[in-house]
Amino acid sequence: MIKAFSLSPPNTSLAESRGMAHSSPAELIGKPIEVLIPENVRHQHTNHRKSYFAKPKARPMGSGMELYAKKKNGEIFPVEISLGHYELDGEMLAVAFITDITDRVKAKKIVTESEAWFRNMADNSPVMIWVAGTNKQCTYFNNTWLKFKGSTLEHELGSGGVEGVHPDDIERFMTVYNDAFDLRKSFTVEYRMKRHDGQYRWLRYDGKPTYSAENIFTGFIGSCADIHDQRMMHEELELLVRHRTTELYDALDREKEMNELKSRFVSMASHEFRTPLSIVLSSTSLIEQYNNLENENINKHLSRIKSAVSNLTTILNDFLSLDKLEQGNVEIEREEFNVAEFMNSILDDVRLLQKKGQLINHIHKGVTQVSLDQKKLRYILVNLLSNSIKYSAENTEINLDSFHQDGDLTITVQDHGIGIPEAEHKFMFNKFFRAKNTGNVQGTGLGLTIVKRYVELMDGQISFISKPGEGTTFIITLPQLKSI
Amino acid sequence: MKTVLVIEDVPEIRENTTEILELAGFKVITASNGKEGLRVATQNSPDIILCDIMMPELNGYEVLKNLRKATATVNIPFIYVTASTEKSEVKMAMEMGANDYVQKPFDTDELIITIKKYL
Repeated sequence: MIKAFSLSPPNTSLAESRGMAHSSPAELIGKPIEVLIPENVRHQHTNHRKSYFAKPKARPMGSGMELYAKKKNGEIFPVEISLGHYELDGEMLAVAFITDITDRVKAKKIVTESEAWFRNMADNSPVMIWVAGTNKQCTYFNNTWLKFKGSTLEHELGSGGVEGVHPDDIERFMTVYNDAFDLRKSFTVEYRMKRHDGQYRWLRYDGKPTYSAENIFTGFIGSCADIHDQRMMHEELELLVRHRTTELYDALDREKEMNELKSRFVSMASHEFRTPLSIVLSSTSLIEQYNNLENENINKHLSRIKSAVSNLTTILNDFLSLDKLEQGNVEIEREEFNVAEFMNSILDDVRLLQKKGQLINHIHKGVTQVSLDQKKLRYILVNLLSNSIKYSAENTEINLDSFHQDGDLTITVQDHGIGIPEAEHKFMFNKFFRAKNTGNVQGTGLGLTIVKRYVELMDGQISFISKPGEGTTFIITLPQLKSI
Repeated sequence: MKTVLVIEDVPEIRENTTEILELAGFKVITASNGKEGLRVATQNSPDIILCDIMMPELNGYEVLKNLRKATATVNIPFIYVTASTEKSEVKMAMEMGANDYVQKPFDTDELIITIKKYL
């Protein structure tokens, strides 16, 4: 039976406000203590009470158990109860200190729930998570880690986590890990660790120091991701790049070698062919002189031999010139000269090539003094004129016009020959290219290539207009230095 | 009659050149390498020398260098007859004191005209 009931602190109406107890302590006095106990456990309490009185001592009630009390309105709430006892006038009295722990239980529940939430998140994360204390020993691994290694938390905790690190990586890993801890600095280290199936996998291990709310170092937290496939792909890619680079260099070396070989060959051929050609040509000249018979047939063949030697020499020269151009070994040597006189000497040179009845007209307009590379210009004009001669019929006219004005020397070579098929215009300056309608007219397809390069070396331009059956006109513009 | 010294290691070219020049009215003496050419030039004092560049024993440059050092031969007109088209080589030859050069294969008339320029 309740003898007395008080609320702490006194004079509050806590009991009422919470509807916890009867409207006043007075209301409880004289009632059995069980009125404060939920009905479902009430009957047990009667026995507990009896055994307490048999052996009374100060202790918390129902240690390890969750205790509940009942409010006047029937609501059940959690409590903590301490028991004590004393004798008064020979009567044994029990004192119960009852604390409402509703708030504490709620707070604990929230903490428990949030811990569970985090744990759940960590365990389901695709990355492995670890936590270590200040002594470098691990205090937590998430499920992802445990699953990866096929290990248990008990085994991994402490220093079990380093078990399975590749022997070649362990020293490096430990150095990075220990240094980072000592310096309390974030770190990243890539290393291989044995997976549950025995395969070593590349992992990226990141760690970051952690601090308490009071800014006290509490250890490290980190994640660990399986980057094996990426790393393998990366390595494969790098290997491929290295391989390709080597191949490329090899190809370049081969190309260079081939070029050098070609260059050496061209130079050797050009030199070595000249000795037998000299013998052929000088012997031919001698036969010509010894041939007192004035035999027309012999003379015809002698002249053919001389012409063939001359062609061959031209071809050798072209090969050599092109090779030099490609090696970048050609320099322009400008000199001042009279272009009108120069043109006349060119006409003398090509006269021997002209077909029966072919006529070359030459007109020059403007200042005659020019500054150009004479040898290159000679090559250009002899080539264009001999093309005109070769690809024009007998009894046709060829016009060589030069025009010096506004600092430009413009030269046109116009013929009325077979012309160039339009579809082939764009290939005309390519080396070894010969138009389809050239038939059996001899040529190497190098002349125009060299002509164009020479024109360009003198900062000039070359173009042509041509129509099959009507003829071709080549136009060259060569800029002159301002002082002239 | 003017004397021409032909220094040339290829027998056919040496003989053909000799024949061409003799037909043109020159007296021709020959040498088949640079060393011999130098000796013949010194001994016979020709009026003009035709000399190949690439030769065994002593090349054309060396021949010219030696000829220009000796008072007896310093003024003899010297013409290179070369298969080389290398501008640098031709330039070097001219800088060393050659009077002219003729490129192989040469035209008979061109050779004779060039020789006559220096006689």
